[in-house]
Amino acid sequence: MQPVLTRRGKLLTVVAVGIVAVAIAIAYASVEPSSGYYPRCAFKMLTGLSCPGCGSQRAIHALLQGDFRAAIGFNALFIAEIPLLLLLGFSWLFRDRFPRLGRVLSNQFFILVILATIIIWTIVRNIFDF
Amino acid sequence: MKYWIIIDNVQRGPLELEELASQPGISFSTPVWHEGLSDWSTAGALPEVAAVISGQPRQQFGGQPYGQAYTQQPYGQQAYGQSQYGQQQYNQSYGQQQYSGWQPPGDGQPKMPNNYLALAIIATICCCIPTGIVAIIYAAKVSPAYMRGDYAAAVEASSKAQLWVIVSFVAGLIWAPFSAIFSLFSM
Repeated sequence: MQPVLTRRGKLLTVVAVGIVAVAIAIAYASVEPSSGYYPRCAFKMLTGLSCPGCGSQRAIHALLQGDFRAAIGFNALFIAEIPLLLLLGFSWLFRDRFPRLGRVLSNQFFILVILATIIIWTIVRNIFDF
Repeated sequence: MKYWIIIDNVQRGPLELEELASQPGISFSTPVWHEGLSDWSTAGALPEVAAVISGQPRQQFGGQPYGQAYTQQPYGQQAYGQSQYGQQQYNQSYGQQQYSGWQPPGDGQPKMPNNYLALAIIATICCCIPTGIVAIIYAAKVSPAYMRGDYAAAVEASSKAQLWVIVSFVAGLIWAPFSAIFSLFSM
């Protein structure tokens, strides 16, 4: 069911997401990819192919080390989607104040373009092996 | 669960969900409250209520009869009967931040249900691709259904998007520790 979010509910959500994000950031900043502790992609283990998200964890690690170039090299799509996700979160939080932003971001065509981008990205990265 | 509603400044309740549909004058902009809500909401903002109401063909949102009634009696000014839940609480919540995007009458449309797009994208990229893609497809269906006025379909697409996001995250969380153990052994 769709919860009716009050101001307090939104604030709690932001705080909870913030805490989780900081915890994840600390974990990925301190654990090296070579340690073997990173969860592995089920899709890659089963098929040998890269999924759209493969490299995201290494990208987060590189980003937290300040190596933006390496981060893009590990998963460019993931890096590109970070601002999009932030924008989506923003439009959800302030949907009353920016109703048009919310409408643009929930537009069917827009969402299908995102979906197509993810699919094309997956195909291309497997053909050219990056 | 019991529901309370306010129609024409008169509070009615406790009512069962099924009884709501048969209340004369109920619309998506009717104030509704049930236990667990911190404030009054509207029928259109509560999917289960919206679904019950929209099951009735004569209750389309934006219908004129309600529009006129509301313009004569703006929110926040009137006392709402002998409410044991506090008129103040109700009066305060309306007209302030929480409902600032809410347009009274005429186009008393409920808000568009969440499409969970951000979570669906995260699910697709980080957890479990096939189920994440299903979530994105349902997310894409929310807006068009809402735009053509089919609120029940928008709510359904929204809850399906939510369901597949949850499925993806649960699958990802179950998988993660297993894969870490596996990769430690295979090194």
